[in-house]
Amino acid sequence: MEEKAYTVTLETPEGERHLLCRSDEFIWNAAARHGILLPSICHQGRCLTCAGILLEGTVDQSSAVSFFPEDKEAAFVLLCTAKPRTNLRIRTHEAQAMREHRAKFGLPAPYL
Amino acid sequence: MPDAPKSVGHGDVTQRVGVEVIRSRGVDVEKLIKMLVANAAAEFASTYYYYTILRMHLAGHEDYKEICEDARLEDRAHWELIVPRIYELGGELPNDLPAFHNQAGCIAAKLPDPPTAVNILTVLLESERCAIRSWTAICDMTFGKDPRTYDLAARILNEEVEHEAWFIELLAHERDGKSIPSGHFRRGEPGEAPFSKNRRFYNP
Repeated sequence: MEEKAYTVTLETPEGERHLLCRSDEFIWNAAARHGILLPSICHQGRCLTCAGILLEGTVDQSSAVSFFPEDKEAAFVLLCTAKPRTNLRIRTHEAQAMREHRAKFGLPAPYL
Repeated sequence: MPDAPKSVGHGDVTQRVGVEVIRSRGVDVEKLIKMLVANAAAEFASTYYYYTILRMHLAGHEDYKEICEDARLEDRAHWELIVPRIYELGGELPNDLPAFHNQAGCIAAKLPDPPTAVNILTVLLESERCAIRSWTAICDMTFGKDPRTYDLAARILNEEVEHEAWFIELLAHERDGKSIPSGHFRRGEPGEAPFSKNRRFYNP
C-alpha cells in the first residue's frame, strides 16, 4: 500500500521552505531529501537539537525515545522522529527553547 | 589567524590562556563544555553502566559477550579521556548523578524485553550510532580551532566507528544470516582502546 504524503511548511531562520513528507517518514529525513539540512545530533528523539514548534497540524511522535506530555502541551516537536499525520506548519531551530521548557519541569534537557 | 589573546594578566589564575586562545578562534566555550558533559554522560551513564547489564545477558553467545565487553570498557576509557578536558575548559560535572544522567545526549542502553541476542545487539548498534553522531558534532565544532579537544574527540570517534562496524557484523549474522564484515579481527586484551589509550592498533 502506498503511503500518503503531506505538505510540510518549515519556518526556518533562512525563510519558509516547503516539502512533501510521507506518513511513514521522519520529517527531518524528508527535509534532508529536499536538500534542507536541519540541526540534529542523536536521531533518537533524545538530545532536542532538532526541536521545532508545531504551528499547525498533527504529528506522530511515538518514535522519540524521550517525549513528554508537557512537550506536546507546549507544541514542541522533535523533527528527527516525527511523522506527519496532516499537512503541517513548523517553526524550526527551537532547541534552546525546548531545553529551557524541559528544565522548568525538571525533565531531561541535554546540552542545557 | 587571530593572535593568542593577551588579556590574561601576569600571574592571573582566574583566566586560562588555554581557553581564551580557542575562544578567540571562534569556539563557543560554554556550549562546548555543555556538549562535552552530555557526551561524557552518554559514555558513562547511558552506555558503560548499561552495557554492564547487557553483557550479562549474552550467555551462550560468548563471542558477542566479549565484544560487548570491549565496547563497554572502551566507553569507560572515553569517559576517562574526556572528563579532564571539561575541567580544563573551566567546566565541571554535575554534583548529582541523576542530574548527570539526564544530561546524556543519547538514550540509555537499557536491557530490552525480551533480552534476546538480536534485541541486545540492536540496542548496542543504535547506541554506537548515537555516539558517532555526538562525537562528530564535537569534531565539527572544534576542527581547526581547538586542536586539543578535536584530538580527544577524534580518538573517541575512531573507536565508536569501529564499534558500529562490530555490531553491524554481529546483528547481520544473528538476525539476518548475512555476512557484513566489520573489517576488524581482534582486540588484544579486553577493552584495549587503541585510540583513546594511545596504544598501538592492530596492524600486523
